[in-house]
Amino acid sequence: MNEYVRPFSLILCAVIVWLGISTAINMARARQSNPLETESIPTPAANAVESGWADESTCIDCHDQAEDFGRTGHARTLTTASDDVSWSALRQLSQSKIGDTERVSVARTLSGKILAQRIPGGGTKAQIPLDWCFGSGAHARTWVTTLTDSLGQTDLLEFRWTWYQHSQDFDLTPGQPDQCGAGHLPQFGLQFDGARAWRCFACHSTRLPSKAGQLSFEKMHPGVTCQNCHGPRQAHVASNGLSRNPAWEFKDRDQQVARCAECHRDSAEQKPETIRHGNPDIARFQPIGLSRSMCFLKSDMSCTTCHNVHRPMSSQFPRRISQCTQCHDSEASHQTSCSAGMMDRCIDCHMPALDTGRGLEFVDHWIRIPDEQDGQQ
Amino acid sequence: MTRRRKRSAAIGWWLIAVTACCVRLLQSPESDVFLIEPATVYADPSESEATWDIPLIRLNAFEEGLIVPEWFAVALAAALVVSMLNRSSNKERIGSIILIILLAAAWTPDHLLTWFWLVLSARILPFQTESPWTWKTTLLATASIVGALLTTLDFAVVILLTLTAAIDSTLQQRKATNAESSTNQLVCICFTSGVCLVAAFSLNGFGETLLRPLTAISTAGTDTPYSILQRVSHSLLDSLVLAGIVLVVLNRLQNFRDTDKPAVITMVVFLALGLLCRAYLPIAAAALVLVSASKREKRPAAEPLRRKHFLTGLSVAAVIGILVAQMLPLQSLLSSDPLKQRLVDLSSLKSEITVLLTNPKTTPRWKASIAPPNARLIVDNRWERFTTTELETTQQAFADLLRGRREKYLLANTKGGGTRDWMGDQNPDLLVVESDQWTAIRQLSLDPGWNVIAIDGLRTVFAAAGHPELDIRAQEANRLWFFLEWPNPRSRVQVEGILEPGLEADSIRVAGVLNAMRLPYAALRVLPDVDSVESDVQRAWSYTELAIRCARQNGHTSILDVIRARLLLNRLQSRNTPLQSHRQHVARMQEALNQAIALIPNRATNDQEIGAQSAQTRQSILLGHFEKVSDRKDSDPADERTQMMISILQGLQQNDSAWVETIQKRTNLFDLKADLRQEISFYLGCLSLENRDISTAERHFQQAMLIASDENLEAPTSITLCRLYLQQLTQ
Repeated sequence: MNEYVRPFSLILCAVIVWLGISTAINMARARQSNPLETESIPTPAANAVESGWADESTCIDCHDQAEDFGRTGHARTLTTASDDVSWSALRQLSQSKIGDTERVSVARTLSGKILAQRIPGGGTKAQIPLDWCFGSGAHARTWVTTLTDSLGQTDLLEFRWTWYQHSQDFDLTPGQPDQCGAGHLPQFGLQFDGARAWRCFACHSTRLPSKAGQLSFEKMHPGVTCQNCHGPRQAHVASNGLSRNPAWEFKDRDQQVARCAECHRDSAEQKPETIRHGNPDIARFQPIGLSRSMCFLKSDMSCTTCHNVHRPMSSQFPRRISQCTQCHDSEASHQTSCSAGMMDRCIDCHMPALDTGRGLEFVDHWIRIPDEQDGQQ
Repeated sequence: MTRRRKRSAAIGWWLIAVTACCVRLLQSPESDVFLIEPATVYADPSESEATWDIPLIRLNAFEEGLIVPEWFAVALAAALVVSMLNRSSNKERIGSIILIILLAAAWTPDHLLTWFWLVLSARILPFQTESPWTWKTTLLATASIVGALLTTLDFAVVILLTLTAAIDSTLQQRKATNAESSTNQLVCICFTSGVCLVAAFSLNGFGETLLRPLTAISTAGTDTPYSILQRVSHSLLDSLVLAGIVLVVLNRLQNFRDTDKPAVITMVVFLALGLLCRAYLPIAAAALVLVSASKREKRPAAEPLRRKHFLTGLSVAAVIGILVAQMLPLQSLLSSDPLKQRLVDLSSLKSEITVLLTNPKTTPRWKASIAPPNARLIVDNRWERFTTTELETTQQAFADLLRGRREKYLLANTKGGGTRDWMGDQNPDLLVVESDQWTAIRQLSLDPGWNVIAIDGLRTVFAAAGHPELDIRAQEANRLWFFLEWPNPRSRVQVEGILEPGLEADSIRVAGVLNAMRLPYAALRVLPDVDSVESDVQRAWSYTELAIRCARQNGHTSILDVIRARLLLNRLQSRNTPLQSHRQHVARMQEALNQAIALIPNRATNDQEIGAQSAQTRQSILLGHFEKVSDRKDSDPADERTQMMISILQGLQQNDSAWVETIQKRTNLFDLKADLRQEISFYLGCLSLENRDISTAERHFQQAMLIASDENLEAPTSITLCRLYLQQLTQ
């Protein structure tokens, strides 16, 4: 019997250790098995991870790209409604034509809170707070109000009126009905449920902790910044750049385009019948057109072939030739050159800007020879 | 021991075991009771013949016999526990009681048949029988294996136990006598191994099912709350049970000898199985107890209980029994076929449809329910059929489905989340969600791609939009949901096949589903009038939903609903409800009410003409700080709104319905401010709607609209709900 004593003492010890560990795990699991707590494992969203984030102000210490990055649209795609840039646009609402027609105005309280007010028939005014401003202003800015539902989830009210850069004025937000909704909140815009609200913030922020559908705005990092694409980088900073996470490095261009498409959308999110070139409805979802362009199909190009995501758009494409000449240099005899004899402004013809409604124009990324209807070159 | 004493002792132990087994049901009081989990292949019609299934399940009589009442399962479990005790050699009564408690804590109904075959096969363990291996032993071994093969998916453990017995017996006999005497055992070992090997190669899916325990071990640790491997996770009680069993086994190992090595190895295997996989805990516990029983000591078949011990045991059993009876729904415990009565009948759906259970653990329940005849499950609980990649993808898709995340997004492992691709591949027609997965129900009910077509206390069934037959059912269901919310007398609705309130506890969960769908009046209508925490939580949720609806649509605080919600929520908080989910929900409702109040500039607190004390009183009422509210007599008599708020509060606090008449009289007073009169009319209309007094509700709503029109009230949103309710009740 003695020969069993030693191994079984070890087993006993192992069992006791295991019990301790499993008790701790079970206590954690007990929290997760709550019907309200559906925001949990298996794998959380990349931006919902609690730890591992670096202070992005340190990026500039080693990376030149961080110098200009703060001026990019990505970095400024979400701000608080009370932010000065947001407020300077928002305050125009009262003077705008649509603001006057729909009797809507905004006010800033002494505490800095932004209130949207509407006086439908004169007399008693209805008002709601505005919390966040979506969009960098390169195209437009849209404001939202966050709401809490009875399950603790964060719902959203999308403000009915949007500021457009091209007109420097307010008009209806895309997707909003022509007539004001009936009811207190519906008159200010459409309400989005928790899942949709999460998606809005997920694409406009880098870090977005949430619990059971409730977004933690205190911990949120607004804007698409360094760690949105490069992953949490605390270990990288702590190791003076020695630590790398290969999972966050793109293995091929498809991965890179797919990463952009997570927010800029891909074909699977659109009805097949809408996917045709020249369709303004898909022009703002650039990866859809790009992935069908012959330029894309016949080369190794990706989004970053033309776009330097670390620099603001305003400092790129001075002659609107983009990077076309890499493959279509008229001075290189073996390359296909423009049959119209143009030397610059390639995108004016081959990637025309399409009006997606309300005068909002997006460059069509379905690169093609004009007048070709079937998309084949 | 005389036969009579043996019998009385066995009955005594059995009674104690019954009590202990009942306690296990407390963990899942609404569990479905299956003797075995019916497991049919659903994955792909083209592969429907490709996976091993329980052979006897093809017999209708056997399949129907799988669902048993809880009392029967408890009685059977207790008998098997006593039988295991009978196998063991523990001399101490306290040791026996501990073993009973441990086994009873481990048992689950769907493992009882496996237990039975284990107990049977344990009879041939050489250290439990003094007799040599004879043809009778071979017959017993064969019966155990064949029985397990025909009736369970976990036949591998029975085969393992039988082989252990044969090998052990061979070794012992070879050591004691000579090689020839172990021919019977060798034949048994070779024949069983050979048959398994041939079957594994010739019968599709047999090998996977045979290795099912190993698959469970290998995938342990990847489980999630809503994963398809839910059965693999341990609870704290499970851990304690296992630790107790291990200690008992270790204690018994003192009696083992060198020749018992096969038994020791088998025990290590079962220990690993129990440690790593919740699904196998009952089996592992039983097997460990059975294998560790030693022949070295004299084995009392059923140790006699002294009269005082017997009486003490019975008293304890009676006390626990009373407690259990109070906590368990007796109707469920005693009903002969409780499950079908509680589940909505979907058999009228005739089309060929694919079904996705968001909790595949409930596969047996789906199988046992009156399911559509041409339905096919996309995913079931047969984890051994998944590759690790499929498992991860499916788990992720389920988690996203329950969070309403359809579109692609980036996961922490840099893979893509979102259900779009996965659902596109699977293309389910029906989605069956657990009725307590409120977040999922809310998200899906808002998704235009899905319609709620059936609700019962256990499941909420969504149908994909665009399916001809399901769309018709969805229209009927929608009429019913709207009728429950706004009982328009002209509506013709059908309840059968759409809503099944079931037992009292089921009705409470159905109310939860309707609240999650943002239909609070409908929820209040199905909520039983019982005094329980669960019912109070649902009632408070309905009032909270009503208050939020009023704030978002009318743009003012519904004093009536806020006060009712706060009263209930405060009561629930003071009760310190034991369930964390209840506490969290209560806290979230309080927060949602706070936000709804803060969202709008409300007439209750922003009145410029009131004094500081009145403002304080109003604020205290809205925030639920009722202890700070002074008596109505102490408040400013000219401040009609505060007076009304205090009247409502005091009436509700004292459960005195006289306040309704009081404020009803006040609506007719023309010296009252028009906005207050209009608001009171709205509340009275809402109360009538809640009480299903439709004509009165219509009158009050019309009065509210008339006041708004006559007095030219300049907040047209304040009558939004009046207009909506009237429209729903009259058109």
